[in-house]
Amino acid sequence: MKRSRRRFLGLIATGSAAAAATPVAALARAVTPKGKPAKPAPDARPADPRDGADVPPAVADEIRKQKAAVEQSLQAVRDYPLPPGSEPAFVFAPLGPRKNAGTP
Amino acid sequence: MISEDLLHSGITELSARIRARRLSPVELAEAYLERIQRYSPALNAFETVAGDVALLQARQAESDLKLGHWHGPLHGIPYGAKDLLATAGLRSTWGAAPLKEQAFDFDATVVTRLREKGAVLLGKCAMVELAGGLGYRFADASVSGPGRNPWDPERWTGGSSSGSGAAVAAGLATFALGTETWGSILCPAAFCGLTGLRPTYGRVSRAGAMVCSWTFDKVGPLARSAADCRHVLGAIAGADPDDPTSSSEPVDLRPRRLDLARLKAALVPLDFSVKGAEPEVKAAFEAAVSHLRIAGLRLEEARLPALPASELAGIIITAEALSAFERLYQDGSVKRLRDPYAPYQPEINAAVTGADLVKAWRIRRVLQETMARFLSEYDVIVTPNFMSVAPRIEDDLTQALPYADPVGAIGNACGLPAIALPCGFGREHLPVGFQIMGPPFSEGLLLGLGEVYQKRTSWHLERPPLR
Repeated sequence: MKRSRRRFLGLIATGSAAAAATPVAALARAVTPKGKPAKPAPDARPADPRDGADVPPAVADEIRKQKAAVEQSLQAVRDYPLPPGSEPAFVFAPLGPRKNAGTP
Repeated sequence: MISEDLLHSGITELSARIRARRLSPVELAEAYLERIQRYSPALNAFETVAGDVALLQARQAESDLKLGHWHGPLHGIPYGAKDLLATAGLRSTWGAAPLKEQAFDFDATVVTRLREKGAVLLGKCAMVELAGGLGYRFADASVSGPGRNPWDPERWTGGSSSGSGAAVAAGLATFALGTETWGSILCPAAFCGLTGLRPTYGRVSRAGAMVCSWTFDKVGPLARSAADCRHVLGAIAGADPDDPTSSSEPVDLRPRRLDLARLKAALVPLDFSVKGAEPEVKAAFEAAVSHLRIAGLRLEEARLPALPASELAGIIITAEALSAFERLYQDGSVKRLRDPYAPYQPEINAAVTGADLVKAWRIRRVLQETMARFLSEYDVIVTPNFMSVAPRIEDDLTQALPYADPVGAIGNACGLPAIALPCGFGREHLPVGFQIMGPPFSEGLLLGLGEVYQKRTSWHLERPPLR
């Protein structure tokens, strides 16, 4: 489960995987782009937020609460009976080649 | 000497004086800068004060006027921009400690458009870190410190456009730009006694704005009145080649005389018996409804469709935010955010599968269709904004604001516009407000209704007793 979750996060991140050399500039990729995208980061792996340190009990308790809230939301979504033929609220369209794409 | 009254007077009054050359844009900018210096540090309203930029732009506005070039009602009007809008050469911290020195070499489209209309940028308004995209529980989740409410600095401004709310309410700027993913314009408008406009998704370009959620983020004004919001929206709305999600729907915000008798409004009451809701807010809302009825608006009690809007909105926004801020996890800087739980968000949300996310998207479509049907019966929806006054700075927000926000969830999930209007005072003389929501691209109607309401009331003219 955890493995597929990581893969899934990797998939949804693909659209914004561009990152530049410096940390500050790298974050600029989350800005709605006005210019050319930067180069992809060579070797980026998620950091372990805890770095091996013990999580204080109060923090662990809050994390448990937040996980429970997510589970509750998931249950509501999973239980919702979609009408047959329901489409997602976005439309995919193929993108043809463009000349002079982006900001001049 | 520019009076405090004038600094609070709003765009229409200031603009008339500027155009008639009875008020100097430079003197106006200087007066606001002086006021910012005096009050902003105690309120955490501005993260960056751009005195040099402001004076340069004000001098340009003044010289253009001398040459007979008037750029419209925002000519010479000073404003603040939420600190997630790119401003060339000025820091854009996004409210986050790890990005304290971040700067871009371009302006967000909205900043460019305001400059072209002659508006004067005073600085960058403080905000909740990352617009709350990775969650927050306390008001101090910001590199600027907690947004302190001008009505009582021991109270929160609301968020995430906290500095935008504080700046306008305290008379440190004539208007400010905020953004809303879910609640970030309407909340500070309610808590600070301001008028705020959340535009339709795509109505205003987001090019150059931080991404919290690609499919929920909107940029809009916080100002003293609906009339002022109309001026600002008129300047920033419209298609933008730099933002593919911006809409090419024509922008027509010219004021029109509304025939209220021909409009039908859905009155959507909220359950004020729930924990955290306050009877004073309910009473103020009911009084606002009475004003609208007396003005001639037909209101019919209605219920919004029962779909899991809050749940789907939460799932989609979190997924998009985790992707948008992926780099903070990759380089470990997420640990430098003020909210201690931000580093754990991937773990907290690990149960969400791809199928869950797609299902949330499919329910979102059902919700859109259901709301489209609902809004074919009603022109607008009138409903409370927040059900309580601003919480205390030190409050755990999950405890202080424990009630759900079904209307906000639906409105933001469907990309619908809403106007927040002040409608009185609640406990400890703190502002309260209500909202009017409409179908996509109905901003002109919402602003018109706001203007009708504000012609009959004076809540929007109230201002805090700054110490």
